Amino acid sequence: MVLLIPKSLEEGEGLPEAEAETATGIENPSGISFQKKLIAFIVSFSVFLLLWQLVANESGNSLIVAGPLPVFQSLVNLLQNHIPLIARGAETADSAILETLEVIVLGFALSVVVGIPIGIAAGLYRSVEGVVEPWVSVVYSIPIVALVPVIYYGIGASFTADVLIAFLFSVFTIIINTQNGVRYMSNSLAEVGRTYGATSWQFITKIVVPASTPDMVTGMRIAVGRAILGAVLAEALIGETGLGGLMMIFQATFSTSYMMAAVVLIAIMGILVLQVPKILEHRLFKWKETERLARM
Amino acid sequence: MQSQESPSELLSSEPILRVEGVAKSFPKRQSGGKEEIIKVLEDVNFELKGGSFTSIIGPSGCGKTTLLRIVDGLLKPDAGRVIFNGEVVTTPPTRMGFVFQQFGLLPWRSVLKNVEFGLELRGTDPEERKEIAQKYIDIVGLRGYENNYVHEISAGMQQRVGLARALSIDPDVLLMDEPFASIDMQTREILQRQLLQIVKASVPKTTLFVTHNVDEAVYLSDEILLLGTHPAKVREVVKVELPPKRWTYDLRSQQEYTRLRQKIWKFLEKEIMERGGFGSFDPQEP
Ligand SMILES: Nc1ncnc2c1ncn2[C@@H]1O[C@H](COP(=O)(O)OP(=O)(O)O)[C@@H](O)[C@H]1O
Ligand SMILES: [Mg+2]
Repeated sequence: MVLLIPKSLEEGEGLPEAEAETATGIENPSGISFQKKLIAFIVSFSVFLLLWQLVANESGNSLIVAGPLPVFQSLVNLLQNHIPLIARGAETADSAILETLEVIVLGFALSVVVGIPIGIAAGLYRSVEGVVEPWVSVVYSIPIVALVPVIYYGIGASFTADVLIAFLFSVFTIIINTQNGVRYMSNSLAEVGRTYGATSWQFITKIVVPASTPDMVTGMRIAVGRAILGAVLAEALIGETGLGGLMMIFQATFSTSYMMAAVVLIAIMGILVLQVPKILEHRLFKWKETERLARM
Repeated sequence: MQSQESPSELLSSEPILRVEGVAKSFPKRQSGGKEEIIKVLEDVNFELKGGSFTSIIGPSGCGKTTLLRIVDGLLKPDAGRVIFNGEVVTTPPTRMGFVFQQFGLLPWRSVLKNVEFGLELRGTDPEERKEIAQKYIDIVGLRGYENNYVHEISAGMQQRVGLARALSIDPDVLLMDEPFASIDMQTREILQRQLLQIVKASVPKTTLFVTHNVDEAVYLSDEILLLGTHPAKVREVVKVELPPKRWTYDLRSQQEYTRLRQKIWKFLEKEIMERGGFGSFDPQEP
């Protein structure tokens, strides 16, 4: 709460300005929608904090559930690299954050670089689809968590193993969404390309890719979330490094409020990382604007 | 401007495009799961003289689009061939422009970038292609909309973009597949007039225009090919001998216009009633 209040005030600085503009008759829909979203967020967040506090009171044991205030205190300590004595030897928070970020970014980037070409090829060619589809079904029908020990015994507890798991968690989502985008692209667009003499490469870069970009970005947005999941899971289950590792160490040492602070850190990082495809979407799809649902 | 020339003098006698014995069938799935072969085109023959405006008219679903796609090399005929500029067409020729019924614009591109598309594929240098595209944007009357996205402009304007894109590659033959079919009546009339001004005066083109609209065919064409159905074949070639520069006078009040209109409509009506599966129609029946 202590952190939230100055933050919301800071963001609220834009409000009087937006009101002034609407008062003078200048439409400012983005200002209004921002206000609405902010209020909705503050309400839902307060309800969340309240429920959290209630659950903590009910359990009556801060080793099982720590309330929001101790967790916030632990978060501040963590960020200043003050860790409980019992968990000494754990990584400092900033290096843990950095490491986890690296795993996410590398795993995700790898799955984009690998997934998009495979998805395009699978969308365009039946033969590639025939190769890819069974594997996608297999990976979707078994939990990827089951692969973690296999990778652990295969290449050992290492940074590479974490990246590989983040990659495996996200790549199939990108392949499937890209393939769908290409598969359901309108044939008349393809015909336009042919009529005006597009080479195969031009056809892919100037028609197929832009036409399926909305689906690719949707895939990426889901994939980022899955890469985060994969990274934290890998860190928690093998090697105990990064934020996932930190979380496990605090749990093992009964530093519950610190463990939950680590979870909060992971959540914050996830929210920040998830903004990237959102920004990308906004910039890339100005041409789709009127096709969007008008919201209240 | 050579204003006193009659249309026949404007047309060169050498055909620029010749369609010889073209046939095409499609498999059609029956309700029982069996496949039946439907003959869509059979022994289609015609030719385009340089500078002419030729329309193909036929009932909906008779195979007009199929024929145009074969002419453009997008579809292989089962028999026969298309000869364009002395060569057999196998893939879309660089010197043919195509205007699509559903516009076929790329929604992620601006008006300018859509018009540039054909030149871009050809590797024309960016400065030059922008200049050329701008020229045709001006010709079709879209100056000021260069940076708009496709969804921001009306259907009529979208088809102007389609036309500018086809013209910008400087085609020898312009193929148009019912380009105004999904555009409202008032806009359509204006577009028809402007199209005629463009392909008969501003940038003279040989045009092959597909339509199912009788008025449109008579107003625009020097020659109309009447396409029968099941399978489609050129049944008759109707010459439209009305004075040139048709956008300068009220064509629709001319006797010849009314005569041609009735003649073509009779043909279409007969095709639709006899072969379109309507059977004998008795208005007295309850
Ligand atoms: N690719 C295709 N596969 C199967 N049937 C087709 C195909 N294209 C066209 N047809 C059939 O050929 C007939 C003529 O279609 P089309 O050329 O689009 O007619 P029009 O343009 O005159 O309305 C229709 O019955 C249509 O169903
Ligand atoms: Mg058609």
